[in-house]
Amino acid sequence: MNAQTKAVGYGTMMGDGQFGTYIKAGADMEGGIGLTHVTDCANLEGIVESQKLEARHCSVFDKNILYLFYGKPAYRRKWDGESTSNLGFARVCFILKDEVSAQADRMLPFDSGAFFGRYRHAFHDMIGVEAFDVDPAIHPRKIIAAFYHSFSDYFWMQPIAGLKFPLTKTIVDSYYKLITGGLKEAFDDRCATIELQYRESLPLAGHVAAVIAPNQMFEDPELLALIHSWGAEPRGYMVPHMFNPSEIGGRLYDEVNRYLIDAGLIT
Amino acid sequence: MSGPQSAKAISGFNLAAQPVGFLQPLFAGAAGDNQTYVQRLEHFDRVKGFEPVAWPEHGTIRFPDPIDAIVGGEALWAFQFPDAPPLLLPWGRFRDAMKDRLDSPALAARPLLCFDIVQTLGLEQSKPAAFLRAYNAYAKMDRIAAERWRNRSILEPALKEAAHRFSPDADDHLSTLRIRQSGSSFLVQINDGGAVMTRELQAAFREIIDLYTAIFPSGSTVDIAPTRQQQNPVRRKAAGVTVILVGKLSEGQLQLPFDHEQSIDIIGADQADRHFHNVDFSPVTLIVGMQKEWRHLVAVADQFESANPLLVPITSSTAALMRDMEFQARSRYPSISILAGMSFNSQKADPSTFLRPVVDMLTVEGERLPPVFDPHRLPARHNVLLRERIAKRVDEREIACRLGTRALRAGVLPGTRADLFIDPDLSWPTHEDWERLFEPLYAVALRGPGEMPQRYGPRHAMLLAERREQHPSEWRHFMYEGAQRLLEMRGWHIKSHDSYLELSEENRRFSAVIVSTGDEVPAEEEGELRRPAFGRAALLVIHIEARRETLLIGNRGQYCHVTLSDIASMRPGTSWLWPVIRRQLIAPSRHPTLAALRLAASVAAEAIRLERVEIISSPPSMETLIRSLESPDCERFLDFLPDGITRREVLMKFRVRVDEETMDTTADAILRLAIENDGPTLVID
Repeated sequence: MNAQTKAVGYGTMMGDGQFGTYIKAGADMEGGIGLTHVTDCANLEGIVESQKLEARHCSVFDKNILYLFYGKPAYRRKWDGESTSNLGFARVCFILKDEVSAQADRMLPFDSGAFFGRYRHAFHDMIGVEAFDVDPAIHPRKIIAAFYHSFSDYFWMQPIAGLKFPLTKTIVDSYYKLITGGLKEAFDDRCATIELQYRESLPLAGHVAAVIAPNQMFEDPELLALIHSWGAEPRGYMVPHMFNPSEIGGRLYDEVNRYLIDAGLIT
Repeated sequence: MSGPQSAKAISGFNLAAQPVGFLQPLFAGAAGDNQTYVQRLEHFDRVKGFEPVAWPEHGTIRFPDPIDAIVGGEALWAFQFPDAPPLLLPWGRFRDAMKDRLDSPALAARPLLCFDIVQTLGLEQSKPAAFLRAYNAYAKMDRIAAERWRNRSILEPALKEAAHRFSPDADDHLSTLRIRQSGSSFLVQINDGGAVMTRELQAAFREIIDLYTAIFPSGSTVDIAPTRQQQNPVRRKAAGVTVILVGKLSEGQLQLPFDHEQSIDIIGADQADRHFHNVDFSPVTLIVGMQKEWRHLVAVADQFESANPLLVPITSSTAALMRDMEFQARSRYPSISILAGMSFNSQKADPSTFLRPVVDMLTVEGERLPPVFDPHRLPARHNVLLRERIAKRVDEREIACRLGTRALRAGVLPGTRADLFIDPDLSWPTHEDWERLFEPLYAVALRGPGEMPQRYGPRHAMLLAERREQHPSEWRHFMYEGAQRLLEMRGWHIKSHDSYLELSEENRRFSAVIVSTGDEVPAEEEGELRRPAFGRAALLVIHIEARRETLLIGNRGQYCHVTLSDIASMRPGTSWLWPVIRRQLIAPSRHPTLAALRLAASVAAEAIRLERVEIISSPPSMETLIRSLESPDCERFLDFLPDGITRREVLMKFRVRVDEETMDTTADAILRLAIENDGPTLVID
């Protein structure tokens, strides 16, 4: 069964499967750390023009979808070979206000793109991505509360150790193994980053809390005016730090983490 | 991954996608391979190695004059100015070239790019002015944003650099350095800095403030403090029920629990401390372990006394033990005991089987609690929870009697107040009916339908009642009383005489005695063994405790022998004896003993007399067969087949015999004995 046939259309996935039910009935916590949307510098101009994050055609689900991630600056990209790194444009991260999560049409506990690409085989062949749907009416922090002690632990991918699940909770257990490295293969942070999907494009006005971008980008008066009108905080970083390959991976995480600390959302 | 020792910079990657700015040099391997590389930098100025990358799809600019770099040599740097070929130079010459162009028209209106240049290249003399311009660029829009940017882009790297100079091995600690600001007060947090590091950071801070006065508030002060340990700004809200597993139970199959439609946290006792560090107490905290480990249960309860613990000892003993008295005397916490049966293995069994009733009782479906009741609403301080499966063909009075019998055995005294929980089913009797059923034995309050969670699978009735301390001398008295009340529950009218009871219903009346030992059983008339009385018996002997063999032997005699557990099947107005005999004789777990063979033989003979027999082939002489079956030593003619006793029937083989008087012979025959509710049936094959 290929990815397309496994993917379920909107309206039929209310998160009432084993995983969604587990999350719904589970513990809750307080607060929220917002959502992220990461894109290349090269795309910034188009976003400034439209003032919205566009829902674009997704070949996996064959629909127009806008992907956001909860709290962590996961970056949705194609999976390429592992032998060499890809050089990408410097990245811009929009940090969106927490309440934007309430508008989501679909919620999954991981990057669905990577599910179909890389770690799909981590699960039983019969388990489709829809098995992990969580009712989008539920706050994403309930997924975090189920597997982490804090937002900070979620951010740095430090799940609660030693959780046990009954044999009847195989899907929940599989996910826990995925995020704790209990599977044969190791996966990157996207396996533990909550994904929210939107059918409609999202206007940025009133929804953006901060924009993280190379310092240089904030010299554009049009962008600055927009950020100001959104009431968002511009947070620049130094591009030359990205020249060193060892710096690339953690840079955006570091910047988002500093924002969350400055905003008092995590310690 | 080892790369080449040297490579040629052939193009620059414009990763900010801007017309002016740094380019990342792309290298081709000197050996002529087709691989693209980037340089790994050491302090920006040295090449540590080359790392393979894929050629970028966009944003590359070809260098007109490629130059080589070698591992250990100066790093190559590149910059794109408008309307000019890209600048590509080794680090030292690149610094000088950029320093000269800082005031060029291309950079004049780019204060943030200039900041990147002077900060990256370490152009110290240019820093004060460049920092101020950049700070002002942010401050024009948002002062807080400018201060936060300054702290992380200027102050933090400067402090780290100072600390690194002082202690080159402290980089791990330095990576944790974070700055917070409130007005002119700065707080620098760092892991394990130590007193000397603290002084060094304070000195560096003053130096930076003095150097860049224009971008810091006047009178700035600093405190250096350890990083706060992973304090959670939030605590997890507690689940409706927290279960702490103690002792061997937590070492076994912790693969709990139930369906998580209910909100339950299940943790081992060794995890509890950490758990409650981050999670609030639940409305109900169950501490669950084997009853023999009760001291451990109490110790854990003492540790988490604030959680209002409710102890749940699981016992493999049906009856109350001396240990229970000790436990109840020493524990100041309420408890609900669960009977798990003799075969319970604490290290292999899934405790959820036994916990499920408790959690069902405490929770409601779906959302978080509150629980149906709090521990203070338990019927008593020490309770026992018993559960009986509701089978469709079993009437509610029988279920009530079964629960009552088990409760009596578990130490629930007659007259005790109890709570009853029934899985909801609107077709069942009402509250009042259920309470009336138990009335002779216990004062039961039915917790209404709708309070119990709706579940899939079998439905159950559960009884929660006080388990009181008992002295052995009291036990016999209460069991006698309990037996009588059970009979009343079952629907019998009881008239008590000095040494016996008189049981009656509309069409029947007979005597009964209750015995606790074999010595108390009235003697039968002496003489040759006659046919078993079965339904013709004039006396019912009710055993408080009896081995199966005692019952099997007894029921081949003149009296009818039952136990407390059989009373539930004694439905007035029916041929209740046969279900009782079936229960005693036929079940997969029943061993094919000699007593079982003899009683089965007598029941088979009764089936023949009642003409409830089917002969399939080779009919033996019925007279011979009956005589053989009823002989005291019938085992001379009869034996169990290998399957012996199955779930539904007894399988026996009758061997060939020659009648010495008539010289008639009978062939081997297979006897298949079943017992229906209205009597035995026999198939002769």
